[in-house]
Amino acid sequence: MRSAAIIAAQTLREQWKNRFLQLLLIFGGALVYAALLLGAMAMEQEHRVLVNFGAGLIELAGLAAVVVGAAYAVLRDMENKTIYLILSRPVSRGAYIAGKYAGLLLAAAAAMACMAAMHILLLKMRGADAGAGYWAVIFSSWLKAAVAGALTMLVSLISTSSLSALLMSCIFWTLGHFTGELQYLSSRLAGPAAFAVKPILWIIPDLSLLNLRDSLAAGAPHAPWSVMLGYSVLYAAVCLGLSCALFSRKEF
Amino acid sequence: MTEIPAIRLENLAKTYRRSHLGRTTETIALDGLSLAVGRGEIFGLLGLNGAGKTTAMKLVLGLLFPTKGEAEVMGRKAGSNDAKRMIGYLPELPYFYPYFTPAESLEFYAALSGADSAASRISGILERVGLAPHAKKCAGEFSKGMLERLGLAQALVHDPQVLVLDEPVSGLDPLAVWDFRELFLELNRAGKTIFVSSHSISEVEKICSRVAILKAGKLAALVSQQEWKNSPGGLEEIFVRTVRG
Repeated sequence: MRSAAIIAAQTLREQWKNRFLQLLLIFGGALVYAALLLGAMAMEQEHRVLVNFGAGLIELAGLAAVVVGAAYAVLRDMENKTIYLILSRPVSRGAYIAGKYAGLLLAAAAAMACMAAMHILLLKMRGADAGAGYWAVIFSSWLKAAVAGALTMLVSLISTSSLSALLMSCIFWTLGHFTGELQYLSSRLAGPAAFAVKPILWIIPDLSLLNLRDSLAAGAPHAPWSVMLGYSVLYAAVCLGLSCALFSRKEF
Repeated sequence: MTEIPAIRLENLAKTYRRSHLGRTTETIALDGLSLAVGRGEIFGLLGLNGAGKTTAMKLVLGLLFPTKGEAEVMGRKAGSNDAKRMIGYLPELPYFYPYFTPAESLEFYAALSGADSAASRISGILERVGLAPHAKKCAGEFSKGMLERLGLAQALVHDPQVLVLDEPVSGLDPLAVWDFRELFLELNRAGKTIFVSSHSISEVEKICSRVAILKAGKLAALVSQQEWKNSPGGLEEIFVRTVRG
């Protein structure tokens, strides 16, 4: 636990020092500004477009921070051999994986909070209000990033290529927003096709469950928080558990 | 009662298996290596490229898992946290995060080892390895020699009883080689056990009390300082004769 916390803190510092986080903030700021321009073009719907577009961009930026970080974090340490200096110390492999993941989530949380603050400031400047559920939306976006990050970390250990891990995660992330449609399609399938498709539905994260942003925008009911949190924690725990099992067998 | 050796390898074997397109190739890196490194000894590993030196060290550190046999550090199973607590490891060509200063890197490694990471202690270690004048620079600005010095600093940061050094002087300038040698001897005088691999026979000859010569993963010869001192061609001649024989 102590080793995991030390590695998490170091990962957070690395994310900060390599300017990825700063770039992300600039990127987020620029895009939120673009949202303002879009909002100005949307006339009567200006405030709604400003809120939704900005929140969507923050979600994408947070997702990028976690997924890119998860795809490269472990493989980079393996390639440049810094992992020798860590694992030759009294650090369990599980603590290493958990620490890396926690550090990435902390970095993403910090980046998303900063971007959200910038977004709210810009909204205020335009005389708009972020709405009561704004921070809940940002938190649900962070939960989606956490789920996608855990899956990416697992895929990166299976694929041993950062690029393929990124690609696979992007596919899963996209499919994860259409789990309802996929379940409907699979229910219409029979025979070997159903046998092949149904296990994939277990792997794809149900991101539509965590899509609070769209639910609130559409005025539709969303899943209870206990379900959203429970699902995120369980999905991430299973991915990390499998990552630890894979990583504990790796040789360097 | 016999003293437990600092490092004990018993019939240690490692075979690398690589699968590609359904075909599995096997490479025997280490084949039944048995040896014991005494406490307070400077023990050298010599061998041609691919002889199994780095594999033996990684098995001691738990970075690799043995195919057969066992390894112990101070009586503890190699790879266990108890064993790792006692080891300081300097890999060949150590790499450090480029945006961190030496002190920041050392604080991280000290914390991971459960050692005191107080600034005064860290600056003392930097002084000891000759990095004090470069303390404000980031590792990304370091030359190869400076990275090697930082590598040695991280191996010493938790004051381990056993140092495992893989090619510690390869590519260093003569002054750095001198500094390293003096430091190894000083550490040894302080009771540290040093397990070192090198291609530099002259360096090994100067600091080691015993040397194991590996050939194709097997122990080809175990040579004491007395033996190479009595040999007209020194350790170099013994090495050439052994690996050619």
